[in-house]
Amino acid sequence: MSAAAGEVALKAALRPWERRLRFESLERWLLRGASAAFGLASAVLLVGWFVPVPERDLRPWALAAFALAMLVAATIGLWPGRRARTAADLDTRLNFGDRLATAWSFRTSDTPIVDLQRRDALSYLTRGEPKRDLQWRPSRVEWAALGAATLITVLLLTTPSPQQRVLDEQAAQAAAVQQASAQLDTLRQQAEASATLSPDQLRQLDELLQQAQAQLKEAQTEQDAANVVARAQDQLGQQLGDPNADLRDEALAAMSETLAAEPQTKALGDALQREDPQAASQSIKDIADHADHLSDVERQSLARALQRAANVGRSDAKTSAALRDASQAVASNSNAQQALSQADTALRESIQASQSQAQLNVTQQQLRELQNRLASGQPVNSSADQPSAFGVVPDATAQALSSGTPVALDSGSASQTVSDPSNGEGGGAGNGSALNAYQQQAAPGAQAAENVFIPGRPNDSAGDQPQPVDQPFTVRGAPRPYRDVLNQYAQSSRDYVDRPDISPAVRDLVKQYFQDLEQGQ
Amino acid sequence: MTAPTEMTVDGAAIAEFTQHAHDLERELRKTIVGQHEVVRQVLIALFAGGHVLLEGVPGLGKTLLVRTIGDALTLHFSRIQFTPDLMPADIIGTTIVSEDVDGRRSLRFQAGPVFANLVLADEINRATPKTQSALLEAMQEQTVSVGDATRPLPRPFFVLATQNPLEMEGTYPLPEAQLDRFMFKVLVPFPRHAELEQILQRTIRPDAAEAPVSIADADDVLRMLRVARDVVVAPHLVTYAVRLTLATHPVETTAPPVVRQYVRHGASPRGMQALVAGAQVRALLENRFNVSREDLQDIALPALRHRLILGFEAQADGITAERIVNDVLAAVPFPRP
Repeated sequence: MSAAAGEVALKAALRPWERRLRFESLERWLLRGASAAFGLASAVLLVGWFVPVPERDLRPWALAAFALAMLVAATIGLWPGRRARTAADLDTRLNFGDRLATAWSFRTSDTPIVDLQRRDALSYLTRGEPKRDLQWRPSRVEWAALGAATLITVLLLTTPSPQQRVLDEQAAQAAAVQQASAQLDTLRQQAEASATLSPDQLRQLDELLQQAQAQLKEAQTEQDAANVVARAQDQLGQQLGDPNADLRDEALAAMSETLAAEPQTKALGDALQREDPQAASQSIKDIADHADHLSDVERQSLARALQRAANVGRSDAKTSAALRDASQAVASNSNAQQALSQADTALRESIQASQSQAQLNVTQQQLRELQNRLASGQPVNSSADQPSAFGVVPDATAQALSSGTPVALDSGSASQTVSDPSNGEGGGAGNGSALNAYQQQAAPGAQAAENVFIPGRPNDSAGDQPQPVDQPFTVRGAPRPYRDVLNQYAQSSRDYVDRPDISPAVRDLVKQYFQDLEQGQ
Repeated sequence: MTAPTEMTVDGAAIAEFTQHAHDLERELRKTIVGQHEVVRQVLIALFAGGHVLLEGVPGLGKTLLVRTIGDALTLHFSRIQFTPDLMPADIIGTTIVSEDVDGRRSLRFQAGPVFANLVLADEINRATPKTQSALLEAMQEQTVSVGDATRPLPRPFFVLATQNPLEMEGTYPLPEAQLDRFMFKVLVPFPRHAELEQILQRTIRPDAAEAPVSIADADDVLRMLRVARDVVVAPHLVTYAVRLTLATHPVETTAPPVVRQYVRHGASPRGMQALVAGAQVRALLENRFNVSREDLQDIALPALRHRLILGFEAQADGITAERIVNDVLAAVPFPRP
């Protein structure tokens, strides 16, 4: 047999054995690949047991790892091996004493001894039967590995991850942060729709809330969000807070009370009580129109009323001065029109400032409530459930209010009924448009913080006026006995001083103060 | 890779080889009771053209084995009993003055007992190193130099030496150079119970033992030597033989820990040659035309054990060369082609 013929014969004889070996290799590698694939998938799924990653996110990765391992295994199994290696493997498996590997190594040689050796190898090869002589069965270790890997994978797929609780908490916190951001967005929209804020105030407030929203995007936990909201609240107070707001409000209240006591200025006093700048302006205009026709006695009476109002409203220096000038002008009947016009301007500015500040306070209070809810882990209500801080009412509610239909307003946990104020007889607090009433009732926290009137006369029309059921503090112009609101004041103060930025000394002092008051009561 | 030689080795030559080898083995087993492994290793060394050092206690049939081989192969056999007073000239011969019938005197070389096909060097370690080294040239070059003349020894030329491992007093251990010239060192074990009974039976009834018949002559042996050298050795098996040899050297990274700890010097290239040559003969005896890994592993022990120079720690810890060779075989991976 020549070398070429020998090589051809050797290849032909080896072919069925090669096919059998490849099939066997595929079986073996698929089994190993399955073990590795299940192991990889388990490893991927196991990540979810140590790292808070949702299992639904890990499953596609586990499936991909499984498929990849199987693909690699199948590729390796089907990868054609070198014939020399195949021959050596057959020598080992069939105990041929390196006949085949040697014959393949010397396949190009045609010396007699090599030819003899090749014939010897071929005779051994043709005596065998691939299917019979090459039988592969997985070892126990391989079965055990596959079983264990499969079992672990099934267990990991069916057993809830211990990180699920962490994930739920994270989701809840993320939702709370998102809701907080939505709340801020609602506040911004309400601020844009508000007519009481000056453009500069609106711009500053919008920037501040935008900045807070941007910081909320970085927040991971409710505590982070609470800190962001707390910072926004502080900045709001620092940038837009008016330190003279209380004095001005007190002055306005006192002036309105004094003016309302005089028949000639009662309309003006009532307008001031309602903080209605148009009505106040109209009242002053009416006074100015009639000023020239007044008798001396009436003029002096009007001048005294204005002077008294100027005196009790000294806390608001500008308005007080304007009223004083108007008083003098009316008394002397010289330039009364101009003086009253200046008083009108001063009063409108004061009312405008008071309303703006009140609405900013409401915003600040809403931020505080939002911060408290975030810090305490309470659910943050969606914006649709929150009352408007700027008198902006959802369309359906506004329509119902304007048509006189009583509607239930959900403010936090309390439900309030607001009637059409036109049906009421009393003046003072609660009188005015439905929107105004809604505005005043919608921010009880804000009123609790800022719009509080401790001194004041009893509200004569309180019985006629529908009062908020759980309104902690009175609205402007409707004072309530202090003992009625003391507990709510105390609770509010405790909530306030529990903030982290309040020093312990101040906290103790405030708590002790209300404790003494409660004991005294 | 051992390339086949130019000589044509056909199926008939190989058949003749296997026939003679198996016949000789059968004849030896008629005389030698048991010791199958010893007989097989001696025959392998013989047909590979190598010399054998037989080590065993007295009375185990070493001399009988060699003598029987000589008888069965119809080879010129000579025995040299090594003693401390044995001189080199007593082995290789000397030039003497001779006188012819006419009374004329002339110098004539008187060949020593080494001039034979089969030399039994009995108790070789009893002779002085000087005398032992007289065999060096004969074993390696198969020539003898006396004076300014170099005389070839008859072919084939085999030295089968024996030594007693117990009686070390008054002996001269063979130097490494001399040991390296022995292809195999074969340990002759003490017979087992059944073999001892059989030996006793042959002693009681000496007529029961069959005399060996002549199997082959010197020419047949020379042809067998050439056939054995043509046995095919695949490249990866050559690599394996090299790896085995290198692994006996403590400086090699492939050497197992026991080699690095206990071996001072590993096997020589001559040992590797002996490994492959012995494997070739074993392959033929196993009715194969190629060397297999089993051939190399089987030959490793007799071919390498006397070529390892062990350190003092090995002696102190009772580590033998056999243990080291077995560790090397276990540690060296078989190369894939």
